[in-house]
Amino acid sequence: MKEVKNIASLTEKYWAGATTLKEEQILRDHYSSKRDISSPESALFSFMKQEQTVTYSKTVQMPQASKNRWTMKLLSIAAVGLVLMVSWFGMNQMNKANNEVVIDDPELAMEITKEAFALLNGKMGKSKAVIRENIAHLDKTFIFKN
Amino acid sequence: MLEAVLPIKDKLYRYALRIVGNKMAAEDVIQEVLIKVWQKKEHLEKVENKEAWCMTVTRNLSLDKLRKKKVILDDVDDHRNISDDQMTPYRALQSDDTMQIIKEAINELPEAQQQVIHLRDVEGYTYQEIADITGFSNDKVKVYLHRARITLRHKLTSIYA
Repeated sequence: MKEVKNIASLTEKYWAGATTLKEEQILRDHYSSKRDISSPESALFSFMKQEQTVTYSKTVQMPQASKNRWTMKLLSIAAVGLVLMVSWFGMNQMNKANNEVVIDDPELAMEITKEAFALLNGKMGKSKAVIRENIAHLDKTFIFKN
Repeated sequence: MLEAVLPIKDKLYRYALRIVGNKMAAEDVIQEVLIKVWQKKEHLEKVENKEAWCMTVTRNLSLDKLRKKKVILDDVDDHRNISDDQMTPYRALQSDDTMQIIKEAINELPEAQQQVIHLRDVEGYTYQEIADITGFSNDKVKVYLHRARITLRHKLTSIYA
């Protein structure tokens, strides 16, 4: 009887917005234990209890892009390292190759040198032609200017 | 950072759902909260009450979402995991109707009152914690809670009369 009286007074206190969390827990336990909805209080406390069962069902994952940030940093450092290593290795190989070219036969050496000069001459000839052509274009612009 | 969010993910989701009233929009809010938590991780380490901070972020993002786009309210019943073998089909039906009436009554409350009654009666926060989360003063929290309960009592009593 005392307990019922106590619940009744706590309920009044609850509606007035004056209960403590502990008192609200007593009311919650009392009203929502059987999921009884025969009174406004029991219906409200049952509803609140039901609301507590709502859960977030999706998997919680931190943003993917943010996770990749460190991976991307590490990858870029690794890539730079790899490029440097390949360049160093390539330069080494080129130096080695340059140092190792030795032609013993003087005639062959002469032939190769001639070929190299001929190639250079050809390139120079082409360059000369291009320069002449450009100068001709320049002259034309002077005509327009005058 | 995950350890700050994981234990309270359901609370964050329920709070977002209370404000936006739509499951998909509430899930979007949680994703945005995670991004915000990640971006502000240095700041969060210094925050004393991480839970209240996350709840405030959830509140702000939910209100933003609500203001930007009017989200369609939907039913949240399928998210609940109720097992009550003692209920007869008639009582279950009656109970569902009553739950629906209470839900509508809460949805009709002013936004601030909805938030306060949710944080107090569903999540069990103290007045001070509610004030920290919502930015309302302690007195305002008490006033909103009092008004919300009066309105609900009035509506429920009229149904039961």
